[in-house]
Amino acid sequence: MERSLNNLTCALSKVDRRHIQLILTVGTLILFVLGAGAPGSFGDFGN
Amino acid sequence: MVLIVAVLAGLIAGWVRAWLAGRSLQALTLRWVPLALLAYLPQYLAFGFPLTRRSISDNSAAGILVSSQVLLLGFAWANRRRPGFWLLGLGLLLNFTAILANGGLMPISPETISRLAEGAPGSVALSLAGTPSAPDAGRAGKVTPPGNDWATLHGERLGSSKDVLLPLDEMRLPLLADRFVFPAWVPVRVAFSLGDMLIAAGAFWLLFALGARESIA
Repeated sequence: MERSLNNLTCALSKVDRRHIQLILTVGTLILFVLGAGAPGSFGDFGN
Repeated sequence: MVLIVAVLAGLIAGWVRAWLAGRSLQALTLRWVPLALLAYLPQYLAFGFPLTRRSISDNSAAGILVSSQVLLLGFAWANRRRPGFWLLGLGLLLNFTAILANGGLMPISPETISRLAEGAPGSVALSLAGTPSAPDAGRAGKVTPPGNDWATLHGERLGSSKDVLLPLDEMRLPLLADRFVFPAWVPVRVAFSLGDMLIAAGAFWLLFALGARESIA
């Protein structure tokens, strides 16, 4: 039982790390494209 | 918005790719992540955040854009071995080159503006940031060029955007400028550059690669 709990905790922590890493990667990529790109939206011109 | 769509499309494509193979999306560690945040934050204040973007002068905004993109070039170089980053970096370099060659802002021609306005609802209106010649300009003002003649606004930054209105004969490296627009029937009215297209492709490629079987780390 204890071993199963430990395995589950270990598995959950790995899943969390992967999800966090994925969120970090996508978030960083979004920052990059927003900073690197320079598309002119018509809405922007009016503000 | 257009580039965010490319990111979302790449994420979905990568997820579908992984799901079809019975896997999860890979976790990919990017290098120098704080540099991307450090680079983007000033741009957000200069072009995005409503409380600050109208109080920053055009020259300051141009300086912020150029220096910010230099940092992003460093970030792209640090991650050049990651899938898609050579495309991301090349797209950024093209945009940066056009921006640097035209005084620190992305040039856009009156012809492109006119094509952009074809499918835009309502009147063609433009707000100028701190232009004394336009009596209705200012933070709350919107002006319409006389007879919709955009030539009267040459050299002006367009609102609080990254764009500056320049005629083609005064524009340097016009092939790299914001010159592409979607057809009028497409509701998304945005002008984009060759660099933007490469950035979108690179973002899609990177996220699609997260669904690959082989490790990309």
